[in-house]
Amino acid sequence: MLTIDGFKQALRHAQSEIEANKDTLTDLDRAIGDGDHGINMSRGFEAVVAVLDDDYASLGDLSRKVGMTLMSKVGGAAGPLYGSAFVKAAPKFGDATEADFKLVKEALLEASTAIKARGKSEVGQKTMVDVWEPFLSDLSEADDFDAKLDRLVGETEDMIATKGRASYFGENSRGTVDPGALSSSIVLKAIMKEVE
Amino acid sequence: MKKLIGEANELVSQMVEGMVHAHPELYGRVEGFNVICRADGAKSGKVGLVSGGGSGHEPAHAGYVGDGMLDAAVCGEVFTSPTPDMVLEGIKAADGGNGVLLVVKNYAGDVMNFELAAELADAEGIKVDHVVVADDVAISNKEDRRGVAGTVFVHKIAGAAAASGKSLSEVKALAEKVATNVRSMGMAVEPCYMPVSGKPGFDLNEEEMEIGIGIHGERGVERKPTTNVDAIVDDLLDHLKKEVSPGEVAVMVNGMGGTPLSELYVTYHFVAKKLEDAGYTLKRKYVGNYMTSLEMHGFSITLLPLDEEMTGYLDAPSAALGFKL
Repeated sequence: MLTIDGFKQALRHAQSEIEANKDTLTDLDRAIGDGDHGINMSRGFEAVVAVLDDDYASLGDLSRKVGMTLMSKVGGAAGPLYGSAFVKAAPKFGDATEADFKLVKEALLEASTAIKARGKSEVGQKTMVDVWEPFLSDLSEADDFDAKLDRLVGETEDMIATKGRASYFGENSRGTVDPGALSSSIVLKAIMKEVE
Repeated sequence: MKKLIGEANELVSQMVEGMVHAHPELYGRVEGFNVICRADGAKSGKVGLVSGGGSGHEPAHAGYVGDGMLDAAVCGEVFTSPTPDMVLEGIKAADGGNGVLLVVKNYAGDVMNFELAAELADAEGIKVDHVVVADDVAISNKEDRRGVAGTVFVHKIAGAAAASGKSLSEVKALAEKVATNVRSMGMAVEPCYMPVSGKPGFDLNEEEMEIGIGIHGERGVERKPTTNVDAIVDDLLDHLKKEVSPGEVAVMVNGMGGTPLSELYVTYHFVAKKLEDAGYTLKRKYVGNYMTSLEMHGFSITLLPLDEEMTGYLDAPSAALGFKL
């Protein structure tokens, strides 16, 4: 069950993991982007943690607030993508104050759809979509979430980017893990840990 | 890398504060936001023109705010597109009741954030449209091309058209015409250093250069042994000439921020000679720092085919600090 407190805990956990991986995210982005993903994600999740002490009536309210906070603090491409994800997941959570595995999965699927629509991207383009969509497809409660996410992040290393800034490097984008895929796995791991 | 900055996280805010304080006759600040607008506010009845993006491209974008060019510039974090709420503030500051045109560079983050802002503005009843500039021929796939220095020509020409009283659809059509025809390509011999991380955008040894860079400190599309500027100009012009036919053009040799003017004029010397030899007439010429990448050492070349109408708007007066005629 994901409770409001559990969701808050997940976001705090995501923030500390992003902080721990800030340099890695930035270095990956230096290799195939413009080198600010760690900095942007860190700025966004610090702002998210700052709104977690407020009271929220439902998981939907919390998700919407998190999305709007990310959208207004992160900037770049990650801001609208992560922001849209949490904003669009909000109606699926609705007034619920706790969500079982099935509802969490449905809300995350809404988030995944929002990321694809906002970024106009599909699986296989070496973006965060390569974590979100395959992670959620056929996801079952019995899965080892962390292992599945680690595998999906690893798979982006061999891909050639055809979307986002990494696509400018063409063949040279191969050999580097997508930074958005890594940050996505951090966020999803933190949420799934609270669902278990 | 040493930088002349205070708290790195406050860089953009302090830059905006400094610009507004230094040029109060020209600039105002939307309170609480890193948005620079005109000191005298939105002009009633005129189409508003808004641009912006990450900071680090100075004089873009705030340097193009002023009579005859932009009405507001939205200053994101360094090399990071501004957020939708910031862009919305820029739109509101530029809206004189006749609609607002957004000039967006083709980077995923810029496009998404400006689109979201347009949706928000629309919901508030402001008529808003946008044009996406994608002038960088270094990227072969046209859809993925970045918006780089050619964006300045869009600011200038659309700005002059808006100042002359054209409607939103007319200003947009003209901006589209410039965006469709302008072409640029850049290179660097030294990277820039990110203010927050202190790291270079890419590592480059003494013997190497990057061809086909964007404007966000990212690597180019090709790494080559450094040659002399004569040969580098040949290389960039080879790409540009494939897409811009000989005829009357405006040419811009744009410094990336760390290039001495002497070197920009040396570059221009070769550019002009080679273009004229190839049958181009250089009707208007611009040499300087227009769209930079912090202290990156390099340059870009931009070509815009000209007709009477576009030439007229290029020559129209501009009060903007970055584009004084």
